[in-house]
Amino acid sequence: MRRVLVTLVDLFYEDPWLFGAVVVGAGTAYVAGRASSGLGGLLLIVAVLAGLWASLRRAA
Amino acid sequence: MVFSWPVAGAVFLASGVEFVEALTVVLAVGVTRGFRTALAGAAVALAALAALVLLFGHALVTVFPAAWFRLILGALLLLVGLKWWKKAVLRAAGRKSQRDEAAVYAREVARLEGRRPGGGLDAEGFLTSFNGVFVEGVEVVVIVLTIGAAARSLGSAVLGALIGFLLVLLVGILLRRPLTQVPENALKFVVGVVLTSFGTLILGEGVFGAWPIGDAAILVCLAVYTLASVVFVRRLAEPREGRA
Repeated sequence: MRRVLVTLVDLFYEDPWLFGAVVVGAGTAYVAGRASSGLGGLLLIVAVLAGLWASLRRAA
Repeated sequence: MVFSWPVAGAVFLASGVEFVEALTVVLAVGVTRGFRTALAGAAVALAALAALVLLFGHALVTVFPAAWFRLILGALLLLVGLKWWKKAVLRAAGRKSQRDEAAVYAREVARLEGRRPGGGLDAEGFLTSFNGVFVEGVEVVVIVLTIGAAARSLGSAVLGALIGFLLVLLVGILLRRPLTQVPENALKFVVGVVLTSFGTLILGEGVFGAWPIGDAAILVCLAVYTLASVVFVRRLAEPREGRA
């Protein structure tokens, strides 16, 4: 479990874009999902892709 | 509980990659410090991992409300998947060195060589083997618990991991050398996309309930993320080609 916690902390500090993608994705999906689950899902996928791309650009 | 092949398959792939990495360390310890020490360390680590699954697996499935554990475990799985996916894209685009089991094996052997134990268990070899199996195994436990619990098919996930473990163990015993022929980097690419897709599906269910097309949404995630991988790799590879 220590390894898991260390990995999570590492992700937050060393790769905030990935962490942010999950948090922002979940938040927007929650808000949009109250109106339409399809829109919520779409925004979640977009947030994941945007966060990953931002993280990749930073690492490359 | 219904057996789920997609769940077992996803866990098999993900755990197989981790077991290949663990096998490299165990073999390096075995060759330098004796297989008795190496196998003892690996066996204790496996027992500790099994205890983790028994302790937390049952609690996750029975105690937590479904929406909450889908939210938490989906986010966790998404983070793990994104981490793998990112590394795989960087490797495929030539922005990160490929993982080479032969090189890892050579490094471990060089580190452990020099002082061979006379008899009994060697403490450093035992700890190296334990650590190698436990560290890689914890990721397997997270994957088994998250996918298995969220899909309400823990047995399928455990079976997938068990098959992965036995297959790698069998090949390792037969070859007695690191599994360099396993296309590990390509597998990690697939696993990264699969874990991210499962994570998205499960997190979505935790946040807004069912997807409009049900579990078939994972196929949409897989297709979109695979297409995105191609685009990301091409875009990241472009500047380096331009400079060369």
